[in-house]
Amino acid sequence: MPDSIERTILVVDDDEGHAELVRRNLRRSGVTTPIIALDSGQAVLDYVFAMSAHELRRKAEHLLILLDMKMPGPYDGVDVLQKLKADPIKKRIPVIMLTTTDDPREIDRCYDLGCNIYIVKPVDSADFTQTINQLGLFLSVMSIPSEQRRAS
Amino acid sequence: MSSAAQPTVIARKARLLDIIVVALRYFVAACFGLALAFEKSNASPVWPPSGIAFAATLIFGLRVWPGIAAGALAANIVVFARNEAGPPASLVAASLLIAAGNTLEAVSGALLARRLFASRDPFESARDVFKLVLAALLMCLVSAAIGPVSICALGLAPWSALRTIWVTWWLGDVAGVIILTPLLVSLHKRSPSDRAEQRGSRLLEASALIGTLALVGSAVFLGLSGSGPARRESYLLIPILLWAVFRFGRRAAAVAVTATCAIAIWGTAHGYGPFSGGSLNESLLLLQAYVCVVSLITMSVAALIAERRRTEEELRSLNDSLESRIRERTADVDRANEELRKANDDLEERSAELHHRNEDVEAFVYSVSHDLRAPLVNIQGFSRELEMSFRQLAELLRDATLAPDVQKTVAGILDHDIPLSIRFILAGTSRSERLINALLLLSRSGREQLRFEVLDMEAIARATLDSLRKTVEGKGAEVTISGMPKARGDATAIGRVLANLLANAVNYLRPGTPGRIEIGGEEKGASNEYWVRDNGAGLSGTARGRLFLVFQRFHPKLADGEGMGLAIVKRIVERHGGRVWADSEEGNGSTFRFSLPNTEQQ
Repeated sequence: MPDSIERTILVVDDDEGHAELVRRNLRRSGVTTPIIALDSGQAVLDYVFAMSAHELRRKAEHLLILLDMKMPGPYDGVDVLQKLKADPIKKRIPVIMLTTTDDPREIDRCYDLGCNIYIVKPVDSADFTQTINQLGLFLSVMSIPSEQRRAS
Repeated sequence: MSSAAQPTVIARKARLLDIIVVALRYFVAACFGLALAFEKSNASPVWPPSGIAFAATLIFGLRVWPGIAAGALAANIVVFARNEAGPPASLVAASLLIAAGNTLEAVSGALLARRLFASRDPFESARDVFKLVLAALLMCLVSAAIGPVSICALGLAPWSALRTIWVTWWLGDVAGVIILTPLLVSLHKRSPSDRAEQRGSRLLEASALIGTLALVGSAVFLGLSGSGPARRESYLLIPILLWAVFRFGRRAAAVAVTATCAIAIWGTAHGYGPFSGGSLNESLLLLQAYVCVVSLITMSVAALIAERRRTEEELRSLNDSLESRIRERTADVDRANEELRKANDDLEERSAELHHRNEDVEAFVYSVSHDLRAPLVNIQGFSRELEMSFRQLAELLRDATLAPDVQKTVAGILDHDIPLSIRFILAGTSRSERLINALLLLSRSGREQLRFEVLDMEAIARATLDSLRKTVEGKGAEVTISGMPKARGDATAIGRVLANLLANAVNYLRPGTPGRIEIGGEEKGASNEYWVRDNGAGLSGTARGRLFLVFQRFHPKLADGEGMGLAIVKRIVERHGGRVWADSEEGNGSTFRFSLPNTEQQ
């Protein structure tokens, strides 16, 4: 990647196994950017919102979030999505819903709230691997907005 | 005429005492009538006993006739004895005949009254007053026919006087009836309207009325205005009588009329007042006419007023009862409405509760299915990872130098045991996954909104067949679609029903037998019935009972499946208000039937 700005992929899933499977399959598909696993809605909100201004300036880190929908704790995936997309700056962070839920109403709701991509997590291992590989290929050609957290 | 009809007033049997009282009254009235007679003449302008006798028959019935007869006989004997008009034998004979005439007069009057008066309470309507006049004129012909003729025949009076005597006799009796009968009947029986009139009366006004009547009556008839043709004054009494009628009612008016007539008769008989001065005959006729007219006017006005009051009273009570009935009915209707509303609310509440509970169950199934899915992703995913790791390990070990027997054992583990274990793990998890997916589908078939419309069932069946064409052709089955009536339902859901049934039919065909599947339907009353018939494996009796439960599989060797299809079919059909059932025999094919509301149902 030519850009000097570092990309980071946040994999948010309360199931560590899922997060690990996603990480491994992304790596196999050639994704080399740092992948950070977070296990709750609270954790991802802390990560995104609680950085000091100093850190912001120092680390020119651009985020992409893979977000599970059903998570225990005060914020599930939909709450996180809602909070991110309601923020004037953070709304630029691409959010990919990666979840087992295939209920069309849930899918509609997430797109209404502003999610960028919705992917149903396949249960079958071969399908799962294939899906994540394709996602990895997609991520490596995908452009990410460069001004995700310029101080207003 | 029916003798059972007893309109004549006052049904009360005449007792001996009544008969004696009637006799005495008749006698007294006869003496009084004679007292009213013109001087030295016996010709009484009014014969009160006629009125008393008629009233007695009306009040006590025909059985009082002996009283009338006795009173009349006694009175006549006394009269003739005082006049000494002929030999005693003739007088007794004349008395007997006259008394018989008087009695017959009252009896015929009573019989006439039975025909004329429809009401149980005569003289209450103006029409009855005129009927009374008619009855009086007719009944008095009887007495007038017998009395004067017997007097002349017995030589007590010259035949030349017959006409005069007859007229006087007749009109005197008529006047007696017209004046006294209404008075006596109304005195005897007080009607409710009379009581109402009584309450309204005031002592002072009553005194003024009596005073005025006495003053004007004496002034007119006792000569204060002098005798002669100035008969106009006699009309002065009419307003006073109307005063009595309007302010004090029928009974008071009857009393006032009687009093007026008494004064007029007494005055005229003694040579005073507007009717005296002419010939005896002329005075008599004038007086009788006056008495009858005054009496008639007063009584008819009184009857009209009484009638009006009664009607008002009836109207008022009718109105009151109508209002109270309307209030009652309205209250009834309100109560019924309230109950209905409550029942309805109750029903709605229960329906909503049921709906909620159902939704809860569906949501629970959905959520549990989801949570069950997540671990499967790990099991499958990491099985794959293990597979890859072992493959890497196997490559590494191939290059390593190991003892030949160890090499052989390791190869056996890596190439055979481990892949077999992993294959079973993967097979198990994919089976679990399919079951969970089926559960999710079932839950969704209960939760999704149905859009009801008129369905072209044949078109849906053809579309379903198209979507399953590959499977059908793969099995070499022949499918026919015909005769399916239109129904009301959700196109997608019903499509799923047909797809499940068709897939079942295709999947469970017997290997080796050419499959024939028939899809059809017919109208059955308020609903339509549809079927999918096959010539496949069929089902045993015990299997049929569990057919529509979840996770039931009957021919696991013939086809894959989760045993969920028929449960989903049942769920969908029941949400349409229909039902689903199957006829089947093991080895002889099955027919799955379901009903749907026809296009006229809402």
